[in-house]
Amino acid sequence: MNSGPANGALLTLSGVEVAINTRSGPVHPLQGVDLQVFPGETVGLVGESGSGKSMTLRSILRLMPPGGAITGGTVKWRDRSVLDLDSDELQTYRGAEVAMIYQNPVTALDPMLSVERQIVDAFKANREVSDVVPEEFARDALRDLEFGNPDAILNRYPHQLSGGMAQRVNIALALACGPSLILADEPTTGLDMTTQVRVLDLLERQVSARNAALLFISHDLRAVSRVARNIGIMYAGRVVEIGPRERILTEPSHPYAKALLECVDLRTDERPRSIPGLVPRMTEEYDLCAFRDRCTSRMAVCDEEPLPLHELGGRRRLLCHLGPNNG
Amino acid sequence: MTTISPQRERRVLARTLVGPTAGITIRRSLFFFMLFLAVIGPWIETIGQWIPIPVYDPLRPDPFNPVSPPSAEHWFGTDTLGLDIFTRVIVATRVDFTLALIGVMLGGGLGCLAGAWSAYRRGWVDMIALRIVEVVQSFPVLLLGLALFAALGPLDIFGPVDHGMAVLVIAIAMVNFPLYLRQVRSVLLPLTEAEFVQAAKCAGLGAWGIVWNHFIPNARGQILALFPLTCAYAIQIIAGLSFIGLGIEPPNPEWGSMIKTGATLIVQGHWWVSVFPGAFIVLSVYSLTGFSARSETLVGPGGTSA
Amino acid sequence: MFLANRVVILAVVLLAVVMIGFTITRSTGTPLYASLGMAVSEAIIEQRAEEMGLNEPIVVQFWTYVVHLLQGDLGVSRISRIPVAEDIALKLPATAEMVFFTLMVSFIWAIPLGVRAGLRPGGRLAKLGEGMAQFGVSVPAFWLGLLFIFLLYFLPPRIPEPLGPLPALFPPPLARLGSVTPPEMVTGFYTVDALIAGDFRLAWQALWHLILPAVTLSLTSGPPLFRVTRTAVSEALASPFVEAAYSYGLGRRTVLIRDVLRNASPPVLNLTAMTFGYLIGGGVLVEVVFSWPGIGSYAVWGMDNSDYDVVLAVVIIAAVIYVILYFIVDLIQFAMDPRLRD
Repeated sequence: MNSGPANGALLTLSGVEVAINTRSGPVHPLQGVDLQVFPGETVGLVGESGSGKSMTLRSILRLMPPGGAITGGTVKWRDRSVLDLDSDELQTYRGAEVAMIYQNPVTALDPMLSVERQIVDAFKANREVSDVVPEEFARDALRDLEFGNPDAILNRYPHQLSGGMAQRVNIALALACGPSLILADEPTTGLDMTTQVRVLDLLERQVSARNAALLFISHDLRAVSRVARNIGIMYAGRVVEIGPRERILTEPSHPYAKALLECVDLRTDERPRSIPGLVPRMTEEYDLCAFRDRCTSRMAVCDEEPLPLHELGGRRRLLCHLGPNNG
Repeated sequence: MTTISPQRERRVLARTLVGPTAGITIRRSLFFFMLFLAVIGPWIETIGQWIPIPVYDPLRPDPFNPVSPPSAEHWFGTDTLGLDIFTRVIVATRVDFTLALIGVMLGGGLGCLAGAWSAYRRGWVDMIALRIVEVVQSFPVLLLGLALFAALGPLDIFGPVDHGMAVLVIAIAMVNFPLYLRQVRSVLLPLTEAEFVQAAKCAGLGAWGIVWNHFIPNARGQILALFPLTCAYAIQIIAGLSFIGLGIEPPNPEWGSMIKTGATLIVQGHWWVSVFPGAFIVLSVYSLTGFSARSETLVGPGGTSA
Repeated sequence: MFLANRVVILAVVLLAVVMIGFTITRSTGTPLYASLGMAVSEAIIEQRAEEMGLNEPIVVQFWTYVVHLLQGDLGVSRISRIPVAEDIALKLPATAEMVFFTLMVSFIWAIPLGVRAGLRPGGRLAKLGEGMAQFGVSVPAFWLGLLFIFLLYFLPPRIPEPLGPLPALFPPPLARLGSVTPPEMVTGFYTVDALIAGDFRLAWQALWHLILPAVTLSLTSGPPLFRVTRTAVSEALASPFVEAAYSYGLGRRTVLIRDVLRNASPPVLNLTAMTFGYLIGGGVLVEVVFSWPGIGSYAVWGMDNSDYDVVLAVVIIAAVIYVILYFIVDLIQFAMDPRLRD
C-alpha cells in the first residue's frame, strides 16, 4: 500500500484512517485513503455523502473535529510527514502550502469581520516580508475574482454578500495565502445553477493562472468531471478507484464506479437515479469490501479476503477483487 | 478544532466517555428523600414515638433549653426559644415545597396558556405578551415581592387563607408567568405554520382547541424541563422573602425565617440555628435541578441571585 | 430600524413600569395610611385626600405622578421625614459599588472559567467551573453570606487589622467602612473617593469591606455568566469560520482572539450588563446580611416601618435602571455586531 519514495508528488496520502469518538461510540469516516496530487494538476473526488470526502480534505490539513483523530496511515507533503509537523510548522503549512475553500461560503466567513480584514489577515499570515500593501492586495484579489467594485465589497460584512459573492470571497481568501494546493469542499453546492458554473470556471482559471494544484470534492460527478483531470471515486472511507478523467468516465472498473456512472448520465440533465441498497454505516470498520452487499458482481472471495490493490499504470488504481477490465 | 499530536490524539480516543448519570441518580434519590420528608412532615411527632429519633413539637418552646448546640437529644440543636431545629427543618420541608409548587403551577400554568395563545395569534397579541414579559422581568424578583407585600399589606382579601402565604404564592406566580410564557412561546412559534396546525384549522378546530390539543402537548418536554428548575428557584425566593420577615412569620417553621432567627446568633458562634435550615434549602435546590437533563440555569433577570 | 424599535420598546416598558408603580401607590390606599396611620377620623382622611390630589381624575393624578417622578420627587419618608430621593441618592452609590465589585469578582472566575470550559469541555477547569456554578445556583446568597461571616469572623484565627476583632454584626452594622469616617463624596464609590483624596489606607479599608459581599453575590450571580460564556465560546469554536481561519494558517492565539472570543463576546457582554442591572435591586438580601447601606437595605427598612413610599421608590428606581441598562446593552450589541446594523 505504501507509495514508496517521493516521486515528485505534492501530496501523498497512504492508508489514512480517521476515527471520531462520539457520544454514541466511535465512527470511522476514513478507512485507508490512498491519494496522490501532483503539482499543478486537478484531482476530483466523487462519492455519496458520508463516504469520507470532506474528512479526507480535513485530514490533509490535520483539522480534526472534536474527538476526531488520524489513527493510521501517513500524509506526506512533498517529502515531509504532515503528521509529524509541530504546531509552528503546521501553521506555516496551512495556508501557505495548502489552503481550503469551504462548502458553505457564508458560514466560512467570520460574521463580525469585514471582507477586507479577513483577506488582509489571511495574506499577512502567510507572507513574512512583502512589498505589497495588504489592503491593495485585497483589492486586487477581489478584482481577480471579477468583483466589479472591489472597494465597496471590501467594506462589507459576510451577511451583506450573496452566496455566489461569498464563495468568490472565500476563493480570494484561499488564494491570498498563496498555496501550491487548493482544497475545495463542494464549493458550489449551495449555489444556483448559473452561479455554480461561473464560480467553477473562475476557480479553475484562477488556480491554473497560479500554477496551483486543485483537489476538488463533490457528490456531483458532473461538476467534478467539468473541472478535474483525474477523478477518484470514494466509497465508505476509501478511494475505490482513481485515474484519468477519460478512463474513469468511459471504462470504469469498480462496480460502484460503474453504478455511479449509470446513475448519472452525463449527456442529459436528468435527475440521477439511485443505486439500490443502503450506504454502509461508518460506525464499523470494514476489513472486507464495504460495497459487497450492494454489488451485483459479488464473489465468494469478497466475503473472505481483504481488498487487493491493483496498480493499473498511468496512475490508475483500483480496490476490488474483480480486477481491471472485468467487462 | 484542535491541533494535537497523533500520540495525544490516540490517548484522547482511548479515553472513554463517563456520563453524568451517576451524579444525576444521587440527586434524584435525594429529591425523593426530600419529598418523603415533605409528606411525613406534619406527622413527624407521631412517627417519633415509634422509631428512636428525637423529635418534638415544632411549635412548643423549651425555655430551659435555649440555643443548645447539636446533641443526642437535639440533633440539630435548639433556637432562642428552645425549639428543636431538627424537627422544624423537617416540618418546614412541606411548607416550602407546597408554596413553591402552588406558586409555580399557578404562574406557570397561566404562562403556558398565554405563551401558546401568543404564539398562535402572533401579531398584536404577541407584541403585548412580550411587553408584559419585559415589564414584569424588569423588576428584580425580591423587590417585586417586597412591592407586592407593600401593596397588598393593608388589604384583607384572602379570607381564611394566611395572608403572608397567599402573597408569597402570588409573588412566585408573577415571577414564573413570564418564564413559562417565553419558553412555551419560543417552542411553539415555529409550529404555527406547521402542517398539522393548518390541518387542524381546516378541520374547523377552534383557536383554543388548537392551542389545547396541538400546542400544549408539543411544548410538554420544555415545560417539564423548566418545572423542577422553577420550583427550586421558587424555594429560594420564598426563603429569601421570609428571611426579611415577609411571608411566613415565626414561630411557624420555614427555612428562611429560621435562618433569620439564627442570623443574630451566628456571630456569637451559635451556627446551628442558621446553618441547618440553609443546608436544607441547598439540598432541595440541588436535588431539584438534577431533574433537568441539561444543567441549565435561569439566565438573566430570572437568575438565581435571590 | 433595530435602534428605532428598541427606543420604542424602552419607552413602552418605562411607561408600564411607572404605571405599575402608580397603581400600587394609589389603588391600595397606601399613601393615606402611610402619611396618617390607621386611627384617624373620616374628616381628616378626606381633607388629606384633597390635599394630596387624590380626588382629582385618575388621569390627572397619573400625570402629576409622572411629572413628580421626572422632577426626582419620589415622595417623603414617613419615618425620617427626608425626601426619599435624597436618601436614594446617598444609598444608590453604595449599591452600585457593591454590584460593580461583584462583577469584577465574576470577571475573575466566571468568565475565564467559562472560556476555558468552552475551549476544553470536560477538562479539570471546566469541571471546577461547573461545580462552582452548581454550588452558586443551589446556595441562597443570604445564607452563604452568613456562613462566610461565621467562618471568617467567628472561627479562629480571627481576621487581623484593618478589621480588627469584630463587634457583633447584628444589629450593629458591618456597613461599608464600619465606624471609620467615609471619604469626601465625589463619585460615591468609597474606594474611588478615598483614592481621589489620596488616602490609600481608607481605600484599602473600603475595598476590604467590599470583598465579602462582592464574593457572596458573585458566587450566586456568576453561574449564568459562566454558563453563557461556556456556551458562547464552544459555539463560536465549532463554527466553520474558525476551522477556515485555521486552514489559512492563522495561529491558535490569533484565531482565539480574532474569531472565537470576538464572536462569543456579544452574549457575554449582554448578560454582564443585565446582571448589573438586575443586581442593583437583586442584592437586597446580601445588603441586609452585610448591613450594607444600599437601596436594598433601605427598601427593607422601609418595609419594616411600613414606609411604603420608600419601598416603591426603590422598586421603581431598580426597575428603571434595569430597563435603561437593557437598552444600553442593545446599543452595545448594535455597535459590535455588523449584522444588526442593517
